[in-house]
Amino acid sequence: MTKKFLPCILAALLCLTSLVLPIAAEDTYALNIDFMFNNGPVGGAQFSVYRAIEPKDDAFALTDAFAGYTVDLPEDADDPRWSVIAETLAAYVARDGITPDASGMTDAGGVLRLTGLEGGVYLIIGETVILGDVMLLPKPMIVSLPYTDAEGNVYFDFTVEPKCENRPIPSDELERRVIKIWKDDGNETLRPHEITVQLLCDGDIFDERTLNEENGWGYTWTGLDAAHRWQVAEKEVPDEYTVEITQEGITFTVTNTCDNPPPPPPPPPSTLPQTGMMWWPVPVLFGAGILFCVVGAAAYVIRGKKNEKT
Amino acid sequence: MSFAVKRMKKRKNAAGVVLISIGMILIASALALTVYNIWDDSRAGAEANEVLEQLDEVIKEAVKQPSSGSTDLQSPGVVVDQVGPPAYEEYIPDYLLNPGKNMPSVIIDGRRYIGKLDIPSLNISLPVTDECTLTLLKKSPGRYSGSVYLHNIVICGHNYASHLGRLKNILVGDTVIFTDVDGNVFEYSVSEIVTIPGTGVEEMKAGDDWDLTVFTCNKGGKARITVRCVLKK
Repeated sequence: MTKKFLPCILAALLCLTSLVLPIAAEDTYALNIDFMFNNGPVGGAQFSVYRAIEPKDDAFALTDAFAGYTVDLPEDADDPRWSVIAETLAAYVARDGITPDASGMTDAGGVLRLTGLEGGVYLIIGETVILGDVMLLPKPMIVSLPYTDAEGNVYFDFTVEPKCENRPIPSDELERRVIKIWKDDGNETLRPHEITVQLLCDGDIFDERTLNEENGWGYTWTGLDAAHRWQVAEKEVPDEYTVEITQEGITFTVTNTCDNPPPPPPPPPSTLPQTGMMWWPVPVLFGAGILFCVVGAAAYVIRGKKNEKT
Repeated sequence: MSFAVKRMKKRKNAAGVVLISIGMILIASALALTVYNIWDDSRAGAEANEVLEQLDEVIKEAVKQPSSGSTDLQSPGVVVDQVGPPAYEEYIPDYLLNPGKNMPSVIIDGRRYIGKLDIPSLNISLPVTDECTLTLLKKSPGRYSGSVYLHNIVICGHNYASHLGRLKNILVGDTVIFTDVDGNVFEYSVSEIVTIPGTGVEEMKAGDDWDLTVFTCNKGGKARITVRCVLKK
C-alpha cells in the first residue's frame, strides 16, 4: 500500500499523527524513499534512516541513541517545528557518526525501499548527490511508521519524497554565518558568557568558534569549498536550555531555549527621563531681580525725600 | 537732629540698597544661567558631532562588509515581509532572522552607541546611545526602550537646540531615519505628534500603531513632546 505526497515535508509532519494510534497491527514496517529532481528520478543517492523518536506516555521522547541531545520535541504531531528538529538532529548525527537503523542507495528509478523497520519516528538523512553540473543536498526529514493520514487510514508501507536544495557546480567559494538566539525572557542570568559552535564539513569538525556578547553572538566563515556540505552544531548545550539549529540563506541560527518561568519584572520608574534644559529659572530670577530692584529703588527714593523733609 | 534719628534714617536707606543689591544678584544669576545654558547647548552639540563623525566611520566600514549585517542603502527600511524565499547563498541580515537580538553597538569614548538618528527637515543628525541616563543625555540622545528590529524603539533626547530642541517644529509626514551600527537603514514617516506628561511612563510605550518614537521635554520641562513614526514600506 503505497501513497505519495507532495510536498514531502508536509507528509513528514502529517504522518506523525499516526503516533496517537497504537502500534499493533504489524511488527515491522516498510519505508520507500522516492528521490526526484526536476520531475526526474535520481538514482545512486545514499539515504540513512534513524529511529530517533518514539511515543512514550502519550508524548514523544528521544530514543536511547539520541537521548544525549537536548532538543525540545513538539507535543503536537503537526507542529511545524518538526522540520527544525530534523535539521538540528541531522547535524549531530553527522558530527557523532551515529549508526543508522537502515540505509541504502536509490535505484535507477530513484527509489530506495527499506523494510523490517520497527515502529517509531524516523529521521531520514540523504547524502549530497552530484547530478551533472548540479549538486543536490537532500533536506533532513522526519517520518513516522506506521503512518496515519488525515482520514485515519493507517499505512504500514509508506513512501516519502525528500526535498532538496540544489546549487550549480563548480561554484565560487562559500560563506557561512552562524548567529545565536537566546529565548529565555527573564532568565538571562542563566546564560553562559559564551558558547562554542562547530562548523562541520561533510560531518567532520572543520572549525570551532566562540560566540559571545563581544562578537554579537555571531561569526562568519569565508572561503569555504563549495564542493562540500557545511553544517553547524553547538558543541555543548548550556544547562537548562534546549537547542534548535536552522539554516536560511547562508546563515545558521542556533537557538537556545529555556522554559523556566520568568521572574516578575522590576517596577518601572514613575517618571520619564528629564530631558529639559534649565530655562525656566531664567525668567523667574530675572523677574524677581527686577522686582527687588524696583522696590529697593522706590524705598530708597521715598525714604530719601522723607528724610529731606524732616 | 539727634544721633538716634540720623541712625534710623540711615538704616531705612540701607534697606533700599539691600533690596536693590538682591535684585541685581537675581538678575545676574538669570544672566549667568542664560550664558551657561547657551554654553552647555553649544558643548552638547559639539560633543554629539564629534561622536557622529566616529560613528559614521564605523557605519561606513560595516557597509563595506556585507556579512556584518548591512542591507542595500538604496533600499532603506527593509522589513521581514519584503524578503522572499531565500536563495541558497543569499545573505539575510541577522536582524531579520532574529528580530529579538540585542541591537549591535559600538563603544566610543567609553559610551555605547547603537546608531544615529536623522531628521532631514530639521537638519538634525545625532548619535544614539544604548540607554538614556541624565549623564548620557548631556552628550547625545539615547534609547529609552525597545528595538528598531522589533518596531518599538523609543528614543529620548535633551531639548538642547543642538539636540532635539527643534523637535517641536516637526510636522506629520516628515521623514525620520535611524541607521544602526551595522549600516542597516530604517526610514520612517512621522504619523502623530502628541504631548505626554512627565509621569506618562506607560503612555509613552503604549500603542502598536507606531514603529519608532522620539521625545524630548517641552520648554517648561513638565511634559514630553512625543513624535510617533511608522516605517515606510
